[in-house]
Parts: sequence; C-alpha cells; structure tokens
Amino acid sequence: MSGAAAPAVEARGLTRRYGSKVALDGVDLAVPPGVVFGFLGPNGAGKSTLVRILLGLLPPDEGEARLFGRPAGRPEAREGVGFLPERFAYPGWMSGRELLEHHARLLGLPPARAREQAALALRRVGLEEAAGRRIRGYSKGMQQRLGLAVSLLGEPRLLVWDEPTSALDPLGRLLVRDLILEERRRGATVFLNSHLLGEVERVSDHVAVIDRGRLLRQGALADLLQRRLRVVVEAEPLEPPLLEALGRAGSLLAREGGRVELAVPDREALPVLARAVAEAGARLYRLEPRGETLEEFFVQALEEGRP
Amino acid sequence: MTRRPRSFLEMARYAAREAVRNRLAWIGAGVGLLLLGLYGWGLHAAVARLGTTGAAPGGTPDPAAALERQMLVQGFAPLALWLASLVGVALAAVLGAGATAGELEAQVALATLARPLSRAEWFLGKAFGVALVLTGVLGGLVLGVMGLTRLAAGVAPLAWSRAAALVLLEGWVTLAVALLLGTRLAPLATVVATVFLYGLSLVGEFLGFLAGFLSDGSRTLENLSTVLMLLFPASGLYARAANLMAGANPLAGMATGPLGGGASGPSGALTLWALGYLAAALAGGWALFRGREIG
Repeated sequence: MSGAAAPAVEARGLTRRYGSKVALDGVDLAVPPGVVFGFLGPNGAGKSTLVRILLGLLPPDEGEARLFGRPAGRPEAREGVGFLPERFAYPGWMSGRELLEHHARLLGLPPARAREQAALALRRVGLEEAAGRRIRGYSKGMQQRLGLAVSLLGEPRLLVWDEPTSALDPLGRLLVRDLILEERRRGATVFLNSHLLGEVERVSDHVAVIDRGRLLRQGALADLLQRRLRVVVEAEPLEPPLLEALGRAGSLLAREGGRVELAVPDREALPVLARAVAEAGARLYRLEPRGETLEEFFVQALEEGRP
Repeated sequence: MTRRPRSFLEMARYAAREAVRNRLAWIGAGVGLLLLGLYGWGLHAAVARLGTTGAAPGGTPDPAAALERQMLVQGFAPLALWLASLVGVALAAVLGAGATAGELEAQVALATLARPLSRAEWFLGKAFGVALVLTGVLGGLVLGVMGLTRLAAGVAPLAWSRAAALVLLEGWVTLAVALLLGTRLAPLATVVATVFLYGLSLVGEFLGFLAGFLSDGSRTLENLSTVLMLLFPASGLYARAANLMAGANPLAGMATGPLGGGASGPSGALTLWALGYLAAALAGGWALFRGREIG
C-alpha cells in the first residue's frame, strides 16, 4: 500500500535496543494522513528513537516502519517529509538563506524555485531580516525558527517536529501553533513530539502515549479524553449514604467538604447522580461535568502502564 | 537532471563551500604560499650564486654551469615538493575530518540526512567537493613549485607532471582516509589518526632509505618499510615523485635523502596500489557510514 490511502506514519512491532536497554518494545502505531498527531512520553520513553527510525537515521532491531506506505530508511520515503530535530544544529558558516536554498536544492527544486521557497519559508517564520546573516550569529530561538523554515520547504506532506518550541519564547510558541494549524489546513500531517501537553492538547487531533518503549495509548484525542468524564458534585448535606449512592454511579476521586469529584463512564451518569442527590433528600448546588485534560489523561496512562 | 545526480552535486557544492570557508584551509594555503615564496627566493639566490661562480669566460654557454643548475634543481625541487605535500596532507586531514566527523559530531548532518538523500550521495558528494578544493590548493602549490623552479633556474624539474600527479594522489589518499575515519571517530581523533598513519608511512620511507645502507638485516628493514608504505601509501607516493624528479643522476638521487626513499625509491606499482587504496578507502567510508546511526 502506498500513496494517499496509506497512513502517513505506520509502525509494526518496532523494537530497538541499546545494549540491554529496550528503547522501543514492539511499537505498533498508525498516524492517519492530514491530522496533527501528538506523540507524548516522559524523557527517555523512546520518542526520539522512533522519530529517528522513521527518518532512516537509525535502523530498527525488529519490526518495520513506513511513511505513506514506503519503507522508512529508503531515501524516497523521505520525499515530502520536513524534519525539525530536537537537537537542531545548522552550519554556522552559512547564512539562513543559503541554508534554506541548499535544502531546497536537495529536494530537487531548480535554483529559481529554491530561492522562492527559501524566501517564503523565511517569511513564514519571521526571519526575513536575518536571512543574510551567518547562522553562527543567530540566537537559539532564531535557529529553531530557521529549523522550522527548513522543515517547511517544498510543501511537505508530513512534518516531523521534535520538541519544536524548546527554544522559543511565548511569541515563538504562538507562531508554531499558527504554523501547525496552517499546515493542517493545507492537508499536511504534523507529527508532533513534545513534552508540552497544553500545547499538544490545543492543536492535536490524535495522540499516542509512550513510556519505557511501550505504546500505552493511541487514538483520536476527543475519544480518548471523553472516555473518562469527570463530574463535580456539590450537595448539602453530603452524608455517607449519599456518598455511597454517588460512588455507585462512578468512582470517587476527591472530597472536600460538601464537594466531591467523580470519574464517570459517560454523560449518562449525570441524571443518575442528580437523582441520587434528590433521593437522599440533599440540596444540589452544583453538577458540573468536565472533560479530562490531556495532562490528567497522560499521567493516568503512565500510572496504569507502569508495573 | 534527475534527483540523484543533483543531490550528489549539491552535496559536493556544499562541501566545497564548507572547505573554502574553513579557516584552517586558508591558514594551510597561506603557509604553503609562504613556503613557496621562500623556496623561490632561495632557489633564485642559489642560481644567482652559481651564475657568478660558474659562468664561462666571454659569456658563452657553460655546460658545467648548466649541469650544476640541473643538479641544483634535482636536489632542491623535491624538497620544495615535500613541503607542498606536507601542507597537502595536513589540509586533507583537517578538511576530511571536518567534512564527515565535524558535521556528524555537531549534529548538522541530522537535518540533511532526513532529506531524500542516500548515505552514498552524502558521503561521496562531500568527498568530491572537498577533493576539488584540496586539488585547487595543493595543485596550486605543486604547480607553483614547478613554475618557480623553471622561472628561477631556467630548468624545469624532471618528470614534473608525473611528480605533480603523484603528490596530488597523495593528498587524495590522505583525504579519503580522513573521510573514512571521520565516519566513526570524533574530528580531533580523525585528524590525529590520519596524521599518525602518515607518520607511519614516513617511518616506512625512512626505513627504506636506511636499508639502502645496510647489508645485514637490510631485507627485514626493506620488508618493514614496504609494509608501512603499503599500510598508508601517502608518503611513498611522494618518495616516488621525488625519485622521478631526481632522475638517473645518482648525486641528485641521494639529495632527495630519506624523504625520497633512497636512490631507488618505491616502484610504479605503488601508484596502482594507491589508486586501489583510494577507491577502497572511499568504498569503506561509504560502507561504514551507511551502517552508522545518526543523532
């Protein structure tokens, strides 16, 4: 399978060891085309190892990875892929414009089009004024912007951004968010490897959580977060029989005075909770459902995944 | 042009520009020019001295003076060529290490190799680009030696074009080895290892020179010399060049001294060995780089 119908990124049984340490342990992953995919995990979880395998920088010990149906590792699989490495570094002796034109030519663009694409990419990341300066004079944030520009060249179908905001100020982070949304509108797939859960939650359609080389969860963000609805109930008096009744509708997470927080399977639990309060003869002041945040989901996934 | 040759040429272009902007390359070229200037000045002074002592009465051509000039050239030019070759070896080690080890250590290669570019295009493209710059600098120095000799002494060194080609080959072999080592070692370690190998080949050359003087045990020395020169044929190529320039004149042959590997010097087979060595080093470098994990 290849082309438009194939997943943008696909991994099957991907395993990679560094000596006795297992960096990836049979990872199965599928990223549909055209989505923003948040790849989450704590430090050392195996995120960067997976990215390096996808880009042919590292061979897997077992399993296989494909980009748009093409085996990762082959140069043609990287056609239409833009990459921003976590530890980005660019030749200090070049100017930003020269670097972009060099990368554009590596994409096979003729010189005039390479110049045009370089100028466009520089404009998108706000580096037009620094385009002629040597990269060694750039700040870390400017270098990361330059890396973003490099990855945007040639209108890629897949963008792989590894911690794209690590060196950016708040304005830079807003820029990254805008770029992600623009690229999604264009139809590109964005594979976002980030620690910043709030950032990922704002823009991602799909997420996966990895820890100690094992993939713990993956799916559409809305589905994953809705699976675990939380409800805050405030009632007076909150006697033990009422607490027991509420506990039957969901699991009790926290209690503070007349306020309890429960995890319930879905929104159908809400009328059940209201009825339980009424039947207990208590007064209901608040019945507030709220979706789980990505941070809560992430922490929960890690806790459940660890032995 | 399809993408493949275009990627190769783009990497070559990049590597050549990188080498040209390397300060050490400029320092090397500057030192080479300085040595060239000193050589030209020294040779001119020596020829002028010969001119005052060896002129025939009445200004008629003096065969003895012409022979003296020829011998002077046969003795001096190989020494100047050796200095040029030394600059070439140093440049090859530094530029080769920078092109592979430097880029890999600094992680600059990460973004480039994530492009639709094969490892062969990256490695061989860089090798070609750096070789172009090295050929420009070293070729300039070598031709400078030959040209200055002709200018100052009125006599061109013997077999100058073959000698020049051998010294260029010496530079390319050194470059290929530095590129190969740079796929696995850090930049400084690459330079040190390359220079160490060159040192071994110099020792081999010197042992060959000594073997010429010894009757007992000279076979052992000769064998050791051969092994060392085959291990890294760089210095042996210079020795061959020096012997070609010294010609059949035994005195001039001696003048090349240990740097010329003695009066006989290495055989022409060394050139073939070096060409095979160059190809093997590039192929080995590519094979090592292909299996290397990046990042």
